[in-house]
Amino acid sequence: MEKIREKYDKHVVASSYLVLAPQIIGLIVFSIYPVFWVIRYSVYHYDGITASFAGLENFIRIFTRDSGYWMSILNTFIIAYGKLIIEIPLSLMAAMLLSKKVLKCKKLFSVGFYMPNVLGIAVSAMIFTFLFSSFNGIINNFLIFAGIIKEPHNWFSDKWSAMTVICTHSIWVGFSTNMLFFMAGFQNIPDDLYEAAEIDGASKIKQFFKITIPMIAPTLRIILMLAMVNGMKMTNNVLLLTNGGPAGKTNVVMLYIYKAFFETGAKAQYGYASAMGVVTSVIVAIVTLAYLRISKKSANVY
Amino acid sequence: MKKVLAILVTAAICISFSGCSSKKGAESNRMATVRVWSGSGATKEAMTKIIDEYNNTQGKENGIKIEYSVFTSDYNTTLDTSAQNEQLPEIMKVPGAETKEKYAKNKYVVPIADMPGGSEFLEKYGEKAIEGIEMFDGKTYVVNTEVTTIGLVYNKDLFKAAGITDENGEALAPKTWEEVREDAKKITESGKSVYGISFPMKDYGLVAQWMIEMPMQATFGMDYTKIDYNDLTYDYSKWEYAFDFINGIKQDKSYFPGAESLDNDTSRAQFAKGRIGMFIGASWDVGVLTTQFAADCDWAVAPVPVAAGKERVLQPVGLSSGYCISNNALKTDKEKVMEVYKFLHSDDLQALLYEKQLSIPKRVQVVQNAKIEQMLPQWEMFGSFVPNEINRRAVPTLKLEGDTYADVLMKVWVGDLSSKEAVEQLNKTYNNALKKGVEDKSVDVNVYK
Amino acid sequence: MKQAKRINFHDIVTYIFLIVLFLVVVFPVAYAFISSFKNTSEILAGTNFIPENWLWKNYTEAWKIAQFGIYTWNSVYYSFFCVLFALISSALSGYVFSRGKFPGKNIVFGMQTGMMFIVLGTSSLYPQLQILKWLHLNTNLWGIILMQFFCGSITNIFLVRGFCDSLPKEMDEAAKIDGCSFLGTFIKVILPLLKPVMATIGILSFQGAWNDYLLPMIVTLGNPSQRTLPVGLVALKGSSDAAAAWNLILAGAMISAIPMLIVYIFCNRYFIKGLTAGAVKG
Repeated sequence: MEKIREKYDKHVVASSYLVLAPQIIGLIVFSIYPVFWVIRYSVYHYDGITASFAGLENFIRIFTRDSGYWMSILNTFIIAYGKLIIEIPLSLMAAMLLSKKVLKCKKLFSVGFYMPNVLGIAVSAMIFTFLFSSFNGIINNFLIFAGIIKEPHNWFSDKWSAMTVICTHSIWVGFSTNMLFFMAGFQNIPDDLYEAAEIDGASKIKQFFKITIPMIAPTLRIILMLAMVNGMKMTNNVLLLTNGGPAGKTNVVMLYIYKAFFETGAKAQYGYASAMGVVTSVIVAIVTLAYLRISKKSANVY
Repeated sequence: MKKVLAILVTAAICISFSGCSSKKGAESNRMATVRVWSGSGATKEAMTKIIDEYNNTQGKENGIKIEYSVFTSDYNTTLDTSAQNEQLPEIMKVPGAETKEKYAKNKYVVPIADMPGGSEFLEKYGEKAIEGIEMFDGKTYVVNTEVTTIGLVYNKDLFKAAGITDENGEALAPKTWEEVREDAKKITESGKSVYGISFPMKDYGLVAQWMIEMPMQATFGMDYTKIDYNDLTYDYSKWEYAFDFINGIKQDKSYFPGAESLDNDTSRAQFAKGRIGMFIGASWDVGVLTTQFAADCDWAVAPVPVAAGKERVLQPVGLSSGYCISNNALKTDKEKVMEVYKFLHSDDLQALLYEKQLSIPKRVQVVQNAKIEQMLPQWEMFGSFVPNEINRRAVPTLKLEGDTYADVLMKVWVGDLSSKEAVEQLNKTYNNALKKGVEDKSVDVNVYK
Repeated sequence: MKQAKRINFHDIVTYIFLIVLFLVVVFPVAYAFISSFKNTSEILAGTNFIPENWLWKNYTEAWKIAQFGIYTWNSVYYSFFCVLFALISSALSGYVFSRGKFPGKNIVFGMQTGMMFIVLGTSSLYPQLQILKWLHLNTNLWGIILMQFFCGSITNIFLVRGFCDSLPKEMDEAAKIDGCSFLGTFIKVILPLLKPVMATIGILSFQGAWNDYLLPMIVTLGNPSQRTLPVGLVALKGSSDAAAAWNLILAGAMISAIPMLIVYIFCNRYFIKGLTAGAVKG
């Protein structure tokens, strides 16, 4: 034990904790306390007026009687993970192309790709409902014009069309953010690696796979993880786009919980909503940790 | 550069701190500030003017300043968080019986009788307060003054174009739901890009309550959703009629397309552009269709339809949220708060709002006494729907495990449930919730019997 | 000759790809921009893309009704401080987690990461408000600004840490030999190299703070003059009895977009490779 303790430089430890002190305080007060609050409420029935101890009843209800919840979990996974298939390669490509020295009009493209972030989720979701509208919506008009469909398609009347709309909007917004992350990550790759490869006669594609991907692997790993976790937290965009879809079919988990929290026409069920929050967090944690473990191999390359 | 930055930062801090200190200045002089909150966007402009006038005349004399704020979106969340934060204003509109119950039981709001002059006030306005709607545990917390009436809003031009007219060639509004279905079909077939009827299913909660439940009560009475407090059962069987009607409309494809993503605003905007034959509207639509979306078409209002072969039993009316007094009012000048409260409920104010075509007073006398010179015929029509006796009943709010009736309506619309299945499911869900509610004592059936 | 031809084809494909992507990405925003000149009826139910009348008054009305002058100023200083705190705390914390050796490091980092998984959403609103109330911070914007200081976003810390991890450790050693302390190394050696990451964090935290709705709304309920821009914007949405003023909302959104664009363009130069080339050589 003594040997290990010697390794710690007192000065370093002191400065580190000094720096981290506000963070740790903030963590305990603003993050950990709410967690306990929510866990506490999850074992009660609370409707805003009276609270009665429920034990594990809320949890039992989630696991045995609430199919809507599990449907929303499934939807959340489908959307959050499915969209990454398009979103990540797209933003990676864009970031890479914009990082090349010789590209013209870089600034214009760069600003253009930032646009989705500028509107905000609420306004952009409403714009998308206009675009995908059945009556005279631009998307429908375009598809009819291109001869792909004959009649306007009702994007919101069945589950998979509605999911497509949600994914499209989500990709549109996420592309913008992830491109920023990737561009920052690319700053790190020294140019001489590319130059050396060029001299050695490697094609651009080979350069991409042998230099870019490995160099960006740690950043990529983090970006993917963030994208997955943030995808699971989607609420407002789905609320505004489909309001849970035709009859609750595109409900995502956080929206479902939000509705239990703020339901009108029936009593609010804070205890139950808290219990759902707890279960959801556990699920997200398990999945993300599994992901981190699996992807650990690709992390340390340089 | 660094110095400039430092100066800027300091300046920013100083200027922004100056915004912090504006809190309690008002109470130091003898002017009492009474804050009033409302969620009504339609009356915002008019009320602001009225309040300003009050502040400059009676307010100045009596040492009262009213601060009127309108929160048009997320009003419920705003109220809830203020309640938790103990930042409720002195007087505020509280929507929904369940919210009022919650606030009453948590003591966020005070019974009117506890305020000076409260009992006299109740004698005048508080007649027929019902436990569960205005009274909780025997104490009255709110007195409703405004109502919203519903009616069938229809586009006369489209009716004429489809040939649905009476002997004089005037558009003939449907009187029964069966006629509604027929007329909707005719209108849809009569032209391109026109549709008979519109249901904004994105706002399916609104549709379920205002376009289905309330209109159906005109035919079937307040017991449209029958609740038996002895057996502890709900009976949604009469809803089968409404579900069949909806399915009929869907079958005919006579509804404005994209209903699942159509919200009420867009629906009314489309009506204003003359593409929709009719919809079940409410008195608030007059303002929307005249000032906000100036209608291109000639439109009118008719009474809500009834089921074929049945008589109209009552005029359904929605009670607007009323003003409650928060417990914060007890910490300030109670008499002045009561003054403002009385002012807000005065017949004069209600008459003024009615004449400006912004809200309909509950008391029929006020409606009848109002000056009707420049009134729009549509508004007059809605005003005429105010009954002498307002029919209402308190219903328990339940902890539901499953779909509310609005969710079920949506499922019927989408085709997931047939009419019979929907009724069965509703009965089952609500029965369970009622029984559970009585078991764990969150519902007291004696209140509702 | 062969080389040049191949590059040309490659470049053409690249440009086409970028142009198509650009059009697709920008189109909804352009749509919003053009719609902000229409009246609400046209926005919701109109059939033409170009407005019939260009209603510039949407902008002046939005500015006046929503008192956007005041709200904008509030948003400016709110965002400014949030960004400042975000930059400072994430840079220092990321560095410490990457380079620092201290007992309990993994525990603290693990807890921070763990918090990210906790998807409580609105459930966590009430307890946070409780705490703010208890600390008497719940009545104006400074309360939540202070909260930002204590709650660095874990995403930002991750980014800085990841970035620092990829910086060669030899630089640290060199600085140490030169007599720099732990934090001194940070200021003199690492910080200048963090520019791209700082720029990213700057943009994202500005965006987040500028668009932050929920907490500023709740905290300024009693204090309308302290509201920020998004709170003012959302207030334009309709209530149950009046339709939403979409023309004003869109105009307001466009006004709100301008500062974000300004910040982005300013930070952009730290991204475009070619200007910072050679920063990390050897």
